[in-house]
Amino acid sequence: MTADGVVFGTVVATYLVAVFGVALWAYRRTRSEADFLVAGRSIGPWVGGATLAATQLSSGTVVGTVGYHYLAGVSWAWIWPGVWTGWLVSALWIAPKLRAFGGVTVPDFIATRYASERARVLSAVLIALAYMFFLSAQYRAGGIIFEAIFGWPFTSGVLAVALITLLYTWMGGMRSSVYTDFLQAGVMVCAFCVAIPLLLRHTGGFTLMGELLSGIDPRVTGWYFGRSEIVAFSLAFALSMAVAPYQIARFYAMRDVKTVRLAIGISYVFQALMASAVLITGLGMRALFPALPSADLASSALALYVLAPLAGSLLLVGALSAIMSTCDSVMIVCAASVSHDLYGKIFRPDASESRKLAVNRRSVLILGTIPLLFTFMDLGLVQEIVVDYAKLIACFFFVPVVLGLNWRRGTTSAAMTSMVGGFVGFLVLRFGFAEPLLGIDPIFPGIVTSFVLYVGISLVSRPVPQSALKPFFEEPIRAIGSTP
Amino acid sequence: MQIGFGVSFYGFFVFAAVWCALYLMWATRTASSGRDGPGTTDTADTADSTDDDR
Repeated sequence: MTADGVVFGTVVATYLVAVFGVALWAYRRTRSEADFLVAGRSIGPWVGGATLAATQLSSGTVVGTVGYHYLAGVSWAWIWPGVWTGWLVSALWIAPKLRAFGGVTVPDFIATRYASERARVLSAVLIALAYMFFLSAQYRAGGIIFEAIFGWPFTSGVLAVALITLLYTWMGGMRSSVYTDFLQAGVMVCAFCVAIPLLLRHTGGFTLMGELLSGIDPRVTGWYFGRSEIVAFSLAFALSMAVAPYQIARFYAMRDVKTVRLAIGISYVFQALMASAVLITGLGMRALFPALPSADLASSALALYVLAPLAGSLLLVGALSAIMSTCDSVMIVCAASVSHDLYGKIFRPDASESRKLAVNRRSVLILGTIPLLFTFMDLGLVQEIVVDYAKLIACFFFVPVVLGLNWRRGTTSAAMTSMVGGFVGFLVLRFGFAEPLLGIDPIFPGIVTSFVLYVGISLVSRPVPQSALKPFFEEPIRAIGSTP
Repeated sequence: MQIGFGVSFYGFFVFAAVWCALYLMWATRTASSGRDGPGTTDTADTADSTDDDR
């Protein structure tokens, strides 16, 4: 092994020791399903903010977004206001009510609000399907990073990322996930704080970098994407972030409503730092290496060819952190859909705590393994998969969650039809046609379909019982299990 | 033709900083005033809230 290889290996090994140390600590404190899925509702604002940010910042950010900035330049940065608007909608109208409700999974909310176990099953199945697709993008990015660090074949890198993440999530569930996220958010920010000044030194600062990029392609420093494209991407991220089940699961794990709102603010700071860092990284790499074989290679090329071995390995560990912190969150949401919502609520409601915990752990292993099948199909660039996932979540979940929390008239059949209509509608429009139908991004007809079905059917179908509405529309909201 | 970075680049950093500052001011003020908005009085605290971070 070369000297550089020793440095890379040492940094990665140190990082993994820290991750598994946290996982072992969490494993010893996990005794029940509530511990495994919501960390005993004990998370404070700092760890909460870090875990929200680390979950949000995925392979889509450190590999995919860097790649998009590399290709398309500055204008891609303007999707972040969309992401942050989604968080704002959540902070104002969604997260406080859901945290006060105090469920364990998102389908818990669906089942209670719509007084229907069938709605629970439907939402659990759709969430698991959407997230397995999303997880495949994370594995793919992990494979690219491992290939860059150690020169491993892509398949081996994918398997390594899947195995490591599965193992620590299996051990400590949500507690393991949020505390490793805290560690990983710190690693990500530190890594880019070291890398960016070194990159700027190579490009000669912002002014020279901008002039170089203008010479390569003037659109890179201005508006590569049109206004309607930016609006479509922003809308996709805003609507999906507002109701993202992997973030809602984290709201449930926090102490109270105030903690949730402060945590969102802290996550904004992490996200703003990372958004700025990936923007500069993508642009700087385009200026230095205008013809990389794939835009997804921009992050790893920075680590390998621009930075010194120590800084480079820190950056790649930061990228791995982003990928793994999202993988663990997604695994828990997928596993909870099966273990808590299907096994625990439908098939074996009388199962003991230890039995439920065992099923949760098994579900993590099984549902974290299935997406490997999609990973080896050529589904496109990492960022394209992430954008499609965001649009899918927005199309089938935004309307039933937001209107369900804020409009009493929403009914069970409306929610179920809206979910199926949005899900199927998006998939047909996205993959059924070679070009967008009438040039319209599929998210618009998908959302409109979901909204029209929800409102129309709600107005003509039987309202849900008042008892089902009580936890969401009466003051004060009383949580599950609390006494009046 | 634009040479170098323009408003879309520098404006993004300013926008991000202002957004974070405004939100944190609002969240901190809401937390200290004890108001959580309508319908959100939180009574949930179900498990081992003795542990964990500040």
